[in-house]
Amino acid sequence: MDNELENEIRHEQVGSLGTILAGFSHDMKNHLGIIRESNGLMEDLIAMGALSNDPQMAERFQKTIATIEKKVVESAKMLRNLSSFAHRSDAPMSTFDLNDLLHEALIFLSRFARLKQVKLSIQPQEGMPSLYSDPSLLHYIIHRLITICLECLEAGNELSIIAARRQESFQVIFRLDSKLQTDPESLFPPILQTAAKKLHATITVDNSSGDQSDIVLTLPSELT
Amino acid sequence: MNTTPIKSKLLIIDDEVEYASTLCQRLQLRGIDITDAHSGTDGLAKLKDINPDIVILDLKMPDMNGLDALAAIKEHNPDIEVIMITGHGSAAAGLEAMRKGAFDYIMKPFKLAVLLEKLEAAEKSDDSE
Repeated sequence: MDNELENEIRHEQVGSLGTILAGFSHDMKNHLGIIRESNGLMEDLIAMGALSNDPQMAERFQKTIATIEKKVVESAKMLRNLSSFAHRSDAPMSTFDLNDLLHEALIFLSRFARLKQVKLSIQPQEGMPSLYSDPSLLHYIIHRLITICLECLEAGNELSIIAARRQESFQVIFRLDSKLQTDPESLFPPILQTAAKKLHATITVDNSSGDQSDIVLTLPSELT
Repeated sequence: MNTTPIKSKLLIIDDEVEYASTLCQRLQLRGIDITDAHSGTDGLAKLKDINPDIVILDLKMPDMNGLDALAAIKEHNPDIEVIMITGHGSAAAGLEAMRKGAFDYIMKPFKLAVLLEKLEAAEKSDDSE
């Protein structure tokens, strides 16, 4: 199969995955909406005195209602991220906010960091201009780099993801709070390097400061 | 739980039956005059019977696109304020509806208090015209 056809199939696959995820998150938001309104209706009925003869029971119901509401809020936040991730594949190139993309990646990968007992945080840069690039491919690169960083860290370590503007380019710095022991050259698989090249981006390692390491992704502000 | 100052007649059009009817009950408990419809076609039929001041309209329904329903509502009576409900991940779909004449939009799942604020704003806007 020639490269062009293979790329076309891959693009179709990403597109259909996006459609499936968008539909799924849309349906889930409807379910959450029903849960929230049913929960709210119970709250209304208690407020109207439906359990006025049993204050203890009313209090237990209120606590349960609060827990359901809290979980609806958390699930809705995850679904909003899933939706915007899914809709990223609607257009191969678009203008977007790098901070949003990093927040999204953080939400999707926080579970893996938690399992590894690594503290994952993000330092967005306020007032950063929008970036014109391929958001799906950039998402993949960021996702892969976070995974690589997590593989290099131990329980108790910390990974900070820092967004920065450098003249005409953007940087995403993956700061590990321990020195990388692996040869930097062997960290990044060829497919990741190829993906970065497609965005005219570079991935470098800075081991020069103290007992921390930076993996730096540098991107042009506009991909032409 | 307090009743609201909202005096407008409302219609909610959403194909999610449980959603629309539960939301309807909650608003009725607050003293609001609201009717629910569970499809675009049903909604447009009720529009003529009820003649509401404000319509809460789902953007995606199986029988009718919410934007088409919005156009039909505005054609029936341009003074009716429409608040779109969207399950889309971004604000883009809601903003598109506003460009086409919707008063505002709200993203699912939302807090009732947020909807009440938007309804009050829509009512004030209706009064000032």
